[in-house]
Amino acid sequence: MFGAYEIAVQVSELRYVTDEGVAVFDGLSFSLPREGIRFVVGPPLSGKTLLLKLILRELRPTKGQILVAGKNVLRLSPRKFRAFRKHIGYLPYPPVVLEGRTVEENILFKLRALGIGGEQGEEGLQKALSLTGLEPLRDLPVEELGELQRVLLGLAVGICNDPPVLLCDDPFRDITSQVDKERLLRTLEAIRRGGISILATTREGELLRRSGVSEEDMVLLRPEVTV
Amino acid sequence: MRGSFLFVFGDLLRRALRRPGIWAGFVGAVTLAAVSLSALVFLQTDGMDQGKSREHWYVLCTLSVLLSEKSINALAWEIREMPGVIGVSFRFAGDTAPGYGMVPERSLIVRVRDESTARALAVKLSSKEGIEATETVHYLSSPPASLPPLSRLLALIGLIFAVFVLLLSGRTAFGWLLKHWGREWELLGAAGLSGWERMLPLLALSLLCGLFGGLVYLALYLGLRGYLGGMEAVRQVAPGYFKAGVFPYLLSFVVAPLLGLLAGGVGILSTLLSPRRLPELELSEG
Repeated sequence: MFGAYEIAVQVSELRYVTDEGVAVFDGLSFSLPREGIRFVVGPPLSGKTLLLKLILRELRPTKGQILVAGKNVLRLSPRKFRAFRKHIGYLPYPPVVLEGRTVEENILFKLRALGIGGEQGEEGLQKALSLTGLEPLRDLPVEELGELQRVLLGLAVGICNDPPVLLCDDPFRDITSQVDKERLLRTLEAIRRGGISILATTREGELLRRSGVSEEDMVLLRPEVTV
Repeated sequence: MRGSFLFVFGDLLRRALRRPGIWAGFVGAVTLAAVSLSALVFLQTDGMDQGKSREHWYVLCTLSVLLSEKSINALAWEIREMPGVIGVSFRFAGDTAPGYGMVPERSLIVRVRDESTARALAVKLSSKEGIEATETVHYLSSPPASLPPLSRLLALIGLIFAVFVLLLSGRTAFGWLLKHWGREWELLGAAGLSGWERMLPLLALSLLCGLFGGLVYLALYLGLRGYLGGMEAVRQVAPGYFKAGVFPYLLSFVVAPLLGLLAGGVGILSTLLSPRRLPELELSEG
């Protein structure tokens, strides 16, 4: 599915104009290196979720190019994109967790729905539990998870099929404790070290700076887009 | 791909069976629609002759005891060709003839159009060799039981109502399912399954319900046929019911599943397009 590539996500000269004529992005460019991490930082309504939707081809940009793992997603045929899309990890906001199931069952649901079973499925499950630190909680029902653990489970579900790229939509948003936010940041770093490139949107620019994330790992969006 | 479909379908089915009543209602609605469609097809309605008796004339020809079977046959064919004759039939001695009673000897019944033809033919045949005597017979037959034309309109209204109930029950069933399987639906979307791929197990479930509805219809059809067949009025009002050929099977195995699929599809789409579909999932404001 993926050949040799150095850039996990490349956004070039991206322009997106809404139906009302508002230019949300006008020449946005950035890149996420393979096994790297980038945070797209911006306040509410700055287009963070929109950017992820454009990368996932749920919306079409007015202009520009988007490459994911060496593939120009805007030029792939619908059939090829459908196959390719299943290899992009995605943590939506709010994270989707399945009530009435355990942590392990949540991860297995995605793996089996994608037709991944046997040894490969077991490997994916173990890797996801290990990188997110959820191994001790694997048999715990979702209802007993705290706010951070729910996000971690969302991350585990996102990475269980070993995608080259994980897109995270506002993972810090529902976490109130600073300690938990920093723990989540460390988990994202662990996932990156596990070989998965991460592009995460957030409003938490200050948290990132305090935690030592360099400015070059942040993509700052315009403060506000009024639609 | 097939394995993943079966897994998702199995998961969906387990969730659906938590409320069997909803699905029984949906299956019942498919059966109701099939029954309504049958009623429209099977019911016999009469037009202008509704309720009127019919007048019949025939000539009863008593045959000579010496006449051979072959000669009787030839004679019957000869009479059949005469003007005004509708048909000729044979009676053994002791058989009954309509409007006459038991015939004492072997006879031919020569059905004609009207009284004058009957009288003229009776005279003509009385002198024919092999015929001992002739007699004109007149009788009135009661019309077959039938329903007024309005009943077909009522059957059509019934069918429209049944389809409405079917669509409503499809909306209720799949609305409930998508609400209680909504997180799984969202997760599959986040995992990269397209809308069509996610919808396929739901459509398969609606097809299955349609098939069950069709089987219930077929069981009712076959079960009642023996019982209703003994009722003369039913045989006259719905003759098609007793000689329907492949129609009930076609209705059970093709039309009913398609009805289920249609109602399920409408229910799924109307639920997905409804803004109140998943109230627990907020929209991101990023």
